[in-house]
Amino acid sequence: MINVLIIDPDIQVCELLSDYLEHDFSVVTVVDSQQAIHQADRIKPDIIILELAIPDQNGLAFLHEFRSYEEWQSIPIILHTMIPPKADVDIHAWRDLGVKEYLYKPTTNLKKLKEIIFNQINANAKNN
Amino acid sequence: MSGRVNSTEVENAFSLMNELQTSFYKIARMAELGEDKNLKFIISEAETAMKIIDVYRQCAMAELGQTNLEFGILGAGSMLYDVAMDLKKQVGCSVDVQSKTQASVGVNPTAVKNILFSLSYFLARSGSKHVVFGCSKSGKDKIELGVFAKDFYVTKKDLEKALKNKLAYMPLSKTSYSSAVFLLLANMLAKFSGSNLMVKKTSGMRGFVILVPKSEQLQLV
Repeated sequence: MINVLIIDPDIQVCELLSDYLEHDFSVVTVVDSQQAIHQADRIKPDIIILELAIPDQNGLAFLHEFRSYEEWQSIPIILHTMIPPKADVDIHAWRDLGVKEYLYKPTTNLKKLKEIIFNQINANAKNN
Repeated sequence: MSGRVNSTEVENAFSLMNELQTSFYKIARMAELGEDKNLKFIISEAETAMKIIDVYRQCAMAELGQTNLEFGILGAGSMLYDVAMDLKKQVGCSVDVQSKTQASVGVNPTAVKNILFSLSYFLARSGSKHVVFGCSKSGKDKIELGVFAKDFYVTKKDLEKALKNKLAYMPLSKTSYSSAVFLLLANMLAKFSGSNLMVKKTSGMRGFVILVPKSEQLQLV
């Protein structure tokens, strides 16, 4: 079973994503970066869904910290965020940190999110 | 709004747009799940979005000088009770009213009720299961009105940061997983009412308070 770690500070969003995705994946949700590190160590996620607006740490800073752990360097990360895309977002910085997709929540329905998760898992499996 | 748009107004508007969008996002995704159990949640989120618009409209009207809300004198305790019942009805959390004074206040009732509702709604959405409404004397001529919860943590710094940066889509603090938009709204209304939003710790609870003028006039019950 594919392990999905969802990092989102909104508990209601965590619940609805979990409700939808748990039919196809093993899902764990956390609301901040400290819990994320702890759960990643416990469940060894195959993919991470990350909301940038987390309460205790800037999203980019969290990714730097996460990638500093050798065992987690190849885990694909999907940004799934309410923060709208900006023209000046340094997409290279995100890509360098293993971000595979930048999904803007208002334009991403659950079905699309699930498809992207499957695509990334398959792509990662081919590369490894 | 007032002829020339300033950056604060634009920032406020962006914050509100983000929060409304979050409510609609949740409604849309819940509907996509298609389960009956989510209907109650969908309704709640829709009402939240409408409440945001309602309170912001009042702020906008005050900014334009178009407020049709009259100044009134009413009992501080009874006002808290009204808001507490509204919150209980809309959110379903348990509430308590602790009045340490029988004083009347001279305020714009709708504005102050909206401030208190916004603050208590924020606490409830942050996960507080029990919200306490309180009033007490503050000095010779002010009454302090506040909302508090035991399972809630916020500092003066958290509030300053949220209000300064207009980070409505960001959670207020590590222990408050609700966005700060209702605090922004409460603060905007409080300013129009001549008050400031403050953080307070009392009786093992934390929350927010505003100061309003005490009225010496007799209140007809």
